[in-house]
Amino acid sequence: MALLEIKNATKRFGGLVANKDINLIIDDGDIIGLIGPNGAGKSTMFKSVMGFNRIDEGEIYFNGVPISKMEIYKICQLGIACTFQQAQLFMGMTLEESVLVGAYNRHKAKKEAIEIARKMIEFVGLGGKEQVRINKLNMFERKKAELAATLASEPKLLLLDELFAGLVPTEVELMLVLVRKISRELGITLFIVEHVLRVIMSLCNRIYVLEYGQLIASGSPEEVTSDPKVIKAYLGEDYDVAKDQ
Amino acid sequence: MDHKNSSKWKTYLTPRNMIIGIVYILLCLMPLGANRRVLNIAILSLMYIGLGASWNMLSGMAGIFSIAHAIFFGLGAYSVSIITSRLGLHAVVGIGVGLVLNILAALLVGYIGSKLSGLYFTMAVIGLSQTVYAIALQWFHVTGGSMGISVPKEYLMTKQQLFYVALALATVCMLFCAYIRRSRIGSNFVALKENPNLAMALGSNVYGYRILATMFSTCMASLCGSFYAFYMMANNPEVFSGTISIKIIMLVIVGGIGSTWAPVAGIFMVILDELVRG
Repeated sequence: MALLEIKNATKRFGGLVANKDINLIIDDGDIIGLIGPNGAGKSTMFKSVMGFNRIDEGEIYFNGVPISKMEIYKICQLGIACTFQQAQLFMGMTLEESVLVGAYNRHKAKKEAIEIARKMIEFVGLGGKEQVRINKLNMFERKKAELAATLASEPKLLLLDELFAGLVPTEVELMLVLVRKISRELGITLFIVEHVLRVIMSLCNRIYVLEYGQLIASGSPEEVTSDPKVIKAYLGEDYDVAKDQ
Repeated sequence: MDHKNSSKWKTYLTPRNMIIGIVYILLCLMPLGANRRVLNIAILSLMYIGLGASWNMLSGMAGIFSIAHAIFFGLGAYSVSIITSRLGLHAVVGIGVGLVLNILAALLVGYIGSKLSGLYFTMAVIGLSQTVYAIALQWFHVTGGSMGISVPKEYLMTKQQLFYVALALATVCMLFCAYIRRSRIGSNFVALKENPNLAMALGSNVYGYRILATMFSTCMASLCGSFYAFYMMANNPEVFSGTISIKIIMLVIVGGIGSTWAPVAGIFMVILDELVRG
């Protein structure tokens, strides 16, 4: 059975159709990429899965359970977690406590939760900064802190919304290593929205392409990048691939 | 880090904690030496520390701004007065009724506040407070109208007794706040203040925690109100007044909103106010 299945999902904002008739399947252990030009509806789709949006038609199944009308925190308890486009954090808290909030998702006892939190802080490479306040961390550390908090909630599926945006190339490399580690060592299925194509190409085993709210292509990275429809979406109608080479 | 039991006590013996301990012991000895006026101010201050802790939990920790906190305080006060003087039941019943009324009020405004953004909670509290104020003012047979209502004189306590009750009340409220702040519930309260969307995405039931925060807070305020009824021996609709609400808000904000010690740090506001009054 698929871990996440989106069936005929449509999301409208007034007259604007942000997602139209989306069908998508993610299997356990996959690393799935979602790309598309600005405004294609990638984040909308993520928000629909996480429960911040309510889809108008269709259904989203997680492990066979319909989740499109579920409360956000219940979706998280089922095993979906997400990072946000702008790193979202509890600014006034220490790193340890903000990761602790995630750990409380599965562990009610404080002792266990702290253990998980410390482990996750160590895992993302922020060991030794447990008592530092979040607003004292830099951008890269904040992204890692956010990641640690979501990992501490022990998800089965992790949605990464432009995790690599705003990082310098060396940080991108470090983050890539970390994301691979999440997939391999923690066994978490990843669903990634990303503009940095290098990241998507090297990480994902399957890519979906959105344009104007519709899925226009899917397949392995090589298949997708050679698809004329995808090239058209990214580079425009008049662009002639043959001429450019 | 070492977490053995033997070293556990040493970690509590910091200079800060020792100063707190000494001040607390001096406070316990205060009724032996102080005169009536000083004791009166001390009792009121201790009560305001309890109220401050109550408001601090709701607004400082959980970030739900209650602008008319006196409503919960007043409900506690009126419950005791009405139950003891009109119905002739024991004061404990009055305190219990106050708590129940406050939990109901908390469920009502908390439910509104949990579904809508902060300002609507504030509006709901103001609405409820005006309604209750009007009832207290108009329902003469039960509340005594603007004349107020008095507690039977067998409940009269000496200033010394009142002081120790107030001290116990403030201590319990502060310890409760400190305990909650370190627990799972406290982390979730602060999480929902800092970033409710993220808190929800991390599996925290934000609606539930908002109602819980309101309930904890109103219960503390209710106990303070019940104490106030015994302290004044008579209360009128002024217990619902904005002056009390503003005082609570002011002392916590000056003390450092959100930090556990805020009500203690800001209490000099109330002390100065009472001193100036003379």
